[in-house]
Amino acid sequence: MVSFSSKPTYHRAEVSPSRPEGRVPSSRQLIRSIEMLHFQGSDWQPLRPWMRFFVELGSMLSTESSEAKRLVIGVSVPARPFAVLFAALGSVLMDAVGNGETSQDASAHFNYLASLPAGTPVSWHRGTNTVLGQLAGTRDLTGQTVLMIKTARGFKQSCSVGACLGIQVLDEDVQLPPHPGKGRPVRGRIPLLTELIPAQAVFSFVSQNALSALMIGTASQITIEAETGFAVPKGSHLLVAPLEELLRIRRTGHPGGSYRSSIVGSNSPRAAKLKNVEPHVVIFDGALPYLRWHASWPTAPTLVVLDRSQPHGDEAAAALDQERSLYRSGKWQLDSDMNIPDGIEVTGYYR
Amino acid sequence: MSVPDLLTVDDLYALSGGAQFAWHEVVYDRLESFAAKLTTLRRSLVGELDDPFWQQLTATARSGLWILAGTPLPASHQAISLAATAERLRAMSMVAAEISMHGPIVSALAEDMEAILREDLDPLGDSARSILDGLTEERACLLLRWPRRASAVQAAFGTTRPNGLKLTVGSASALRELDTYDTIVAIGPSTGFESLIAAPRARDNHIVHLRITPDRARKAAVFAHSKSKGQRLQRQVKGVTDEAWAEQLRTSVDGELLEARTEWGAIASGGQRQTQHEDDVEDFVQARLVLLATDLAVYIDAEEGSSNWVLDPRAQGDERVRLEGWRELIPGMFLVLRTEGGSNIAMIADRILGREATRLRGDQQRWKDALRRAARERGMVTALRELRKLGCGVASEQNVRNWTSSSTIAPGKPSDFAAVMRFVGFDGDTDGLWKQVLTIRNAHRQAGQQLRAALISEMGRADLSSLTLTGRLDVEIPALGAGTLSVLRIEDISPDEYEISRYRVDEPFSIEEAAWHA
Repeated sequence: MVSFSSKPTYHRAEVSPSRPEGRVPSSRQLIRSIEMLHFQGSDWQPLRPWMRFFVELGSMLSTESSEAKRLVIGVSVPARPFAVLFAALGSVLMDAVGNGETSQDASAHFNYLASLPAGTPVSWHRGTNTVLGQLAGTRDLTGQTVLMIKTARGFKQSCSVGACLGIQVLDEDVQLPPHPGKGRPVRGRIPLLTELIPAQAVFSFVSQNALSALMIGTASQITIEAETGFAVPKGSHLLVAPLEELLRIRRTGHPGGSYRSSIVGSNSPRAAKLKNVEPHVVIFDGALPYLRWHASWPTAPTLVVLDRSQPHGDEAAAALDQERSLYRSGKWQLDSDMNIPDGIEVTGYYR
Repeated sequence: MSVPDLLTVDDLYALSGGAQFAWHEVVYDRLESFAAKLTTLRRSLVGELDDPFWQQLTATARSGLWILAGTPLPASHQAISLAATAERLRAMSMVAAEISMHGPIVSALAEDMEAILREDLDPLGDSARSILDGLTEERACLLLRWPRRASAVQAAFGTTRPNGLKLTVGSASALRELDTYDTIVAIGPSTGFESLIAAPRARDNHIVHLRITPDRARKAAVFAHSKSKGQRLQRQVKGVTDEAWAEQLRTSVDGELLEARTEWGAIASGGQRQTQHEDDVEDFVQARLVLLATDLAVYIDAEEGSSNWVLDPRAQGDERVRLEGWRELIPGMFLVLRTEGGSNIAMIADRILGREATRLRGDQQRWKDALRRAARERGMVTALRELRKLGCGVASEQNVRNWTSSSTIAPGKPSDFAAVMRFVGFDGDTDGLWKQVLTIRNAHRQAGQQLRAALISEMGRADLSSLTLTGRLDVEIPALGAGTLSVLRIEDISPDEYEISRYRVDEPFSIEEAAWHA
C-alpha cells in the first residue's frame, strides 16, 4: 500500500545534476526535433510558426536562465489552448537533449542516495520494470561499494554505482510486499521518443524524475489538450504519440512512475503544497493562475501565457510590467533570428 | 470537456495577425437630444440625485437610452418595451412639475421618448443590414453587448440573409469561444466587447455605434513594453470617431451615462431584498456575485475549496458536466443551478439514506449546535487554541464555521473529528458519530453522482443550440425530485467579495434591467 506523505518533497526525487553547470544544451538537436514533429490538421502537417515559437520559448527559459538571473517571459495570445503545452515541451526536450547520462552523474547520484537514511522510499527502474522499495544503506561486495535496497520484507537487493540512476526517491511512503516481485512495467519507452532525443538520453529520460516544467492553470483543460497526438515521420510511416507521453506528465495515483512535467490546477490544494518544489521552469496558463501563484516560485524561470479573450489579462500584464520595471538592469531581448508569429505579443526580463 | 482543434486555434493566430476593423458612426438626432436633456437634468440636480424619485427617474431614462444605443431593433419593437418607459417618464414629469422646478426638462425628456416611439427608427439595425447585405462571404455574427434581446434580434434579422449569408446573433461573451466567422458586426462601442480587437474572431470586423457613444480603436497589446509582428498588434482601422467631435460631445452629454458597466451595488441590494432568510444572522460566507443570462444573478460561495457544477456544451458524454472551482469560473461558462422547487444535494442524499436520514441528520445537528455554542461561549481564539491542543491540525476560524454549517458534513480526517468531539464533550460517542459521518458522506457522493448522471443524460437529449442564443436552458429531473435545473451563461463576475448568509448561496434571483444596466 502506498500513501501520500503530508509534506511533498519530490524536489529531492529529482536527479540532482539534471542541469549541471558547464554543459551546453543542444539547441540544434531541439530545432531538429521540432522540425520533425507534425500535428494533425486535415492531414499530418509540420508545426505552425506559433507552435514552434512556444517550444523555443520553453527551451529558452531553460538555457537563458542561471542561478544569478532568471528569465521571465510574458506572452499574450488570441486563444490559450496548447500554448503552455508547447512551451513545456520545449523545456522538457531541452533538459533531455542537454542531459545525456554520464559516469559523474551516476557517481554523484550514488553518493546522494547513500547519504539518505535507511527506510527512505524509492522507486527502482530495472530494465523494463519498476520496483518499489526502501533504501537500506551500503555494503562492500567484492571490493565495490553497492547500494542496498529493501524490496520485500526481509529481502534486500544490491545496486551498483553504474545502475543507480534508475533509483528515484519518492515523496510517498512505500509498504513492502511479503515476497519480492517483478514490479510494474516502466511507463512506455515510446518509439517516437527515440526520434526526438539522442539515444543515450532516452534511458534517463524515461527512468528518472525531473520537473522540467510545472504547468499551472485549469488542469482539466490542459490535461485534455495533452491527449492530442503528434507524429514524427519515419520512412514510409508515422510514429504517433500523445503530447502527454512526450512531456511525461506526472500522473497522480501512480507512485513510482517517472515524470518530466506536471500539471497543477490553480484551484487545487496541490498548488499550495508545491511551494517547496523547485521546478526548472514554471508556466502559467492564464491571468488568474499567475496572479494567484506567481510569488510561489521566485527563483524559477517563468512563462506567463495570457489569453486576450479572457478577463483579468490587464491585471496580470500590469503585475508583470511592474515587476519588469523593478528589474531595469535585467533587460531581455528576443533572439534576432526568432520571428514573432502573428497574433503573439512578447515581453520579458531577467530577475 | 472537448479538445480544441489545433487548426481552429491556428486560425485564431492568423486572424489576430490580419484582422481589419471598420467603425460605422450612426446619427440618431432624437436620441442625442434625449441624452443632452438627461445630462442637463442630472447636472441641475446637484445634491438631489440621491433622492429616490430622481434616482428612479434618471435610471428609467438612462435604461431607455442604453437599450436604444445597443439594440438593432425599431424603437416600437415589443422586445424593447419603450412604451412603458415613455409612459413612466410622462407620469413622472407630472409629479416633477408639482414638486420641483425641473418639471419642464422632465417633460421635454418624456416628449423626446414619445417622439422616438412615434418615429420608430432603427438606425443601428439599418446600418447593420446594409453591411451584412453587402457581404459576399458565408458566415457572419451579429454581436450584442447583452444577450437579453438576442432572440428578438435573430428573429428580426433571420438566420439566412437574402444574399445567402448565414447569420448568428450572439452576445459579447461569444467572443470567448473559439468559433470564427468571416465577418462580425458588433452593435455598440467597442468598450462593450473587451476582446473584439485584442483577440479577433473574424477577418472583417465592423463596429456599428451611435454618434453619441463615441469610440476609438482600443489597444490590442496588453503589456506596456512588448514586441509583436507589426507594430504592437496594431490593427488596420478606419472610421473611428473624430476626437474633436468626441470632445464637443463631452460638453453636452455625461460620459458616465454612456458607459457600459455592471452596477454590482444595485444587483447586490436587489438580491438582499429578495432572498432574506431567518437564519441570516448565524452563518456567513464570503461570496462573489455572478450576473447570469436572462436577467438573473446569484451569489456563489467564494470560500477556499468551494466549487460549482458547470456545463460545457462543446464536450461530449460524461465530460459535459463537471465541478469547477469558483476561481476558475469566467464569463461565457455555463453554471448549473436549481431555479425552481426540488431538492439540493443534501435532500437527494436524505432520500438515499431513507428512514435513517432523520436520525443521522439529528445527531449531526446535535454536535454542530454544540460546536457553534462552544465556539461562541469560549470565543473563537480560545476555541481554536483548544482544538489544536486536542489534536485538530486543521483548526481555523473558517473551518470551524464550515463544520457548524449544515451545508458541510464534518472534518475530513477522523483525528480532526475526534478532537472536535472532545472539544464539545462528545468523547464517548466519537466512533459512532464518525461512522455516521462516513454514511452521510457516502450518501452525498452518491447523490452528486446521480444528479450528474441525470444531467448528462438530459443534456444528451436537449437542444443545446439555444444556449448560444439565449444563454439559458431549463431541465426537469423529476426522478430525483431535483425540480427545475437551469443551465445559465455567466455574463459577468463581481470583482469584490460579499459576506452573505450561506442560505443565499446558489439561489438565483431576478434583477430588473433598469436597476443595474448602466
